This record gives sequence, C-alpha cells and structure tokens, in this order.
Amino acid sequence: MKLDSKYLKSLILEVIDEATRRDVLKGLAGLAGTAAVGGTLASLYNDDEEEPESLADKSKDAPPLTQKDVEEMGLKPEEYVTSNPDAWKEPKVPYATQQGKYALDQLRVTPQNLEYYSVAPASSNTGDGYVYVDMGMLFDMADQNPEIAESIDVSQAFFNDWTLKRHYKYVFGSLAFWGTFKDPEDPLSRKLAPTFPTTTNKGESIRNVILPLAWTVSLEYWMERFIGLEARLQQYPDNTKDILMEAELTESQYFEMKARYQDVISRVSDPAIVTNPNYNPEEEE
Amino acid sequence: MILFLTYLCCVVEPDYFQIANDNIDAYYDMCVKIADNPEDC
Repeated sequence: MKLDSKYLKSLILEVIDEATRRDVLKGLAGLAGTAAVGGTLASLYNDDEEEPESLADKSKDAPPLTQKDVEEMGLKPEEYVTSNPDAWKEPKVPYATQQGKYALDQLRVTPQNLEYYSVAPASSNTGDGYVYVDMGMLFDMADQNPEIAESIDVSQAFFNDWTLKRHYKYVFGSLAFWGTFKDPEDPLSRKLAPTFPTTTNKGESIRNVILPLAWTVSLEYWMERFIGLEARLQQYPDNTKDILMEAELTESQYFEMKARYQDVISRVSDPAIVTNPNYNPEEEE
Repeated sequence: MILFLTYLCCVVEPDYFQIANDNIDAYYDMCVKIADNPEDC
C-alpha cells in the first residue's frame, strides 16, 4: 500500500497534536501539585529568607563546657575544655585603681535628711547602732545625679588589687572607720559621720551612726564578688585551691564567710528600718 | 620599750577577719534595739 503524502502529513500532525495536548494536561497537573506544596518548595530555594539556625549557631552563645560537663558527657577533656589557663581568675574592673579611689571618695558623703534608713547588716562592740542608705535608695539618687551613677560604677576599680578577704575586712571589720568621711570639696578633711539618737523600748539611749554611700557601694560590690567566687568554684573545681588562695581565704575561712554572706544577703533584701527623728521634709529638695 | 611597742603594733595586729565575723554576728542584738520593725531583724 502506498501512503499518500498528504494523508501521512495530516496523520503526523494529528499525532503531534495529541501528544502536545497530553503534555499540556500533564503539565497542568504538575503545576497544581507544585502549587499545593509550593510553600515548602519555595522556602527551600528562597535565598532571601533567613537560613535556619545551624547547631553551631545555636551553640555559639552557650557557656563554655566545664571539666565536669565534659566528663559527664563522656567526651575527651583535651578537645572540649577551654584551654585558657587563667580562666578561673577573678576578672578586673576596666578602670585604673586611682580612678576607683577617686570615685569611691566622691561617695564618702552621708545624706542626713532622709526620713528612714536601713539597719546595717552588722554592728560593732562600740555600743553604737549603724544605719545606711540601701542600694535601692542609692540607685534612686543615681537616677537623678549622673555623677553618682558614674561613681558607683567606677568605684569598683578601687578593689581591683584587693583580695576578697581584705575587702570583707574593710566593709565589716572596722565600722568605726566608716564613721568618718571626706568632704568632696576638701579631700583632706575628715569628719565624724552624722548620727541621730534612738531610745529603745527599755529606755536606753543609743546613737545611730549613718554610714556613708561609699560603704553601701563597698558592701554591694563585696556581695557581687562573693557570688563570682562561688560561681568560679563551681565552674573550675580543679582550681579550688588557686581560687581560694587568690581570695586569700583558707577553706574554713571560706565557709565562715559563706555563712555570713547568707546572713547579710537576707538582711539586705528584707531590711529593718529606723526612722530619723531629725528628718525635716521642708529641707528636702 | 621600742621593741615592745613594735611588737604591739606589728605582731599583735587585731584579727579583722574575726572582728568582721563578730560584727555581722552582733547585728541581731542591736537591730532589735533600734529598728522600727524589730520583727524583721
């Protein structure tokens, strides 16, 4: 049978049309399917959106592993523990000691016209009561006076070269010393701190010494340093002796200080109050 | 005499660590005397 060329051509075209029509239908079905999962697919190829956080990103802000962590996880210590041999040491405040001394001297003042004072978390054998301006009130003052705010911050550098034991003795060991302050206008002047009387319920008359702002700041920073000591003892158990030696503490002294720290922190967080009988609301600015 | 004074000044130095401990321990007795709210001492 001899095929007519015209018939053959129309047959070929018909086959091509049918194939094309089927392809179009397949293509439409494919597009519909793609649209159904389009969100997911698009998100896989969309470079503009933020890439999901990798494990490395998630762990970059995590604290470094301690020796204890590594041992508990069954890892090799030499590969995971921070290699800085001084990591256990107490960090220093980023100011010069002289700057710290100047800043602390600026705080050797005692606000006398407050209605209330907090009972200091320590007393002495002199028979005097000791009261102070607590950190909450001091921060209120700092909010109104940027110089006080800066002095609070910088004064910590005064203790940069001091061991924690020396700092502790300075705050609590000689409260009578804190009974004096320097007039900021005349650094060489020293005066007795102001006092006000209290009569106890047994009729006994007691003098309350108002500790200067510098004492409050020194107390606060001692507590901060002690918390830091505790944290480093936990983080670097292999350096326990080094850490205590840096603080100038024997093990028994550390436990004695820790017990006192717990007493002090409870007294500071929920203070007893003393009313100032000399308070004059008209003098208050 | 000078040696004795030197001894007093330098060797018999007060134990300020123990004094600090004692001062913190002395808080309660004084607090109940002077506080407006002794129950918080």
